[in-house]
Amino acid sequence: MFAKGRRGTDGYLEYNDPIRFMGPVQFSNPWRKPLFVDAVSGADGASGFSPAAAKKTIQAGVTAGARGDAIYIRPQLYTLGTGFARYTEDVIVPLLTNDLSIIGVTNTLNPEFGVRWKPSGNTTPLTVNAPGLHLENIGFFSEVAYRMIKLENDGNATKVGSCGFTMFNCAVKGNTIQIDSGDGVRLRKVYFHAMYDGSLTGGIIGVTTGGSALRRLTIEDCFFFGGNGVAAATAFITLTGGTITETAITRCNFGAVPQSGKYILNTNVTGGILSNSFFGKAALSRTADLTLSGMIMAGCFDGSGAFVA
Amino acid sequence: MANIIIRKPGNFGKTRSEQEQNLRKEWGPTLSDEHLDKIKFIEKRAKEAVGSDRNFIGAIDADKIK
Repeated sequence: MFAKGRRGTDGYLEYNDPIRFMGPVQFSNPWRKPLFVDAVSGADGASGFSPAAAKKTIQAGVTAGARGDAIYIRPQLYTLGTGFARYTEDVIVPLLTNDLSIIGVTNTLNPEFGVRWKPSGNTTPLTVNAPGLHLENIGFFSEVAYRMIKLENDGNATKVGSCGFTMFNCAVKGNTIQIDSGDGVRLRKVYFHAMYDGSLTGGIIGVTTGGSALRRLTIEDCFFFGGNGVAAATAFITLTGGTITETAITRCNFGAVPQSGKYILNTNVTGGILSNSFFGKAALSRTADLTLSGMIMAGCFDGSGAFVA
Repeated sequence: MANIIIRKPGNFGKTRSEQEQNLRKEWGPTLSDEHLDKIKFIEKRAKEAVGSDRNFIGAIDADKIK
């Protein structure tokens, strides 16, 4: 195959070996359509099928969507004296709207300053019951003690939100992503921050429900930080419950150790690996600062630059 | 003379790269130029492999191409 960046005779840049990436590509859905959401200029009564006829709320876009659709969300305006406006709503992605993509438009490609989304109250802004939801370029923000994103799975095939969920280039500030039993959740380049005072930990909580297992959770190239100069209250990644297997945490960066004393608290994980990650605490202790259960740890470094064995 | 473009539902683009290029004219980008390039490459390979010119590729997959 060609080396990176070489332009082929047909004018396309060639990259190395794309064949292994063919698996996740979604092919040949002739019914797939894009939908558009614009909180400033849109209307929920509009069709949503073009930017000029955009929906006003994300829920309206999800409701109008069907399997495999892509929903593009326009960022809101900056309000002088107030700041960046946010989509303030609690969205439920129902079971039969599977393989949906929700994608934020952002000129800077910085998820914190594009589409910003917060709950309407003491609520969860995004509850997912459908498999295969994909999020890109969204900045979630919360100052309430409710999960930011809930991937629900009841073990009875009526809620399967934790199967195949993927998230890329997003920010989660203030509270956590809860992952119920499921399979194949992938989080890549997601920035997790605690609330400004550290009291709500931006992070990930995995639980098992209905006696089912949580398998093949992949967390890669993510960042985990505390609040504004304050350490997060609790562990950034907490995986508890029944059967949790083949969890991969790789190339992640963790800031100051949380106040609870643990970066990662996995109490019942079998298999899996923690690799090539950095922890801000100097002289990291594999036992005191981490609870990995059955996970292998390899290639990690701590704040003193030392390799952690 | 003005050109009037009437789009049917789903006519915003058959692939992610087409939708991205149309979206950039209206609202702005959802992909970096590098990711857009990689997605175009995957689309080309996908069309060669399965003959379909309709697909949707997430940036999470394009990001893995080196």
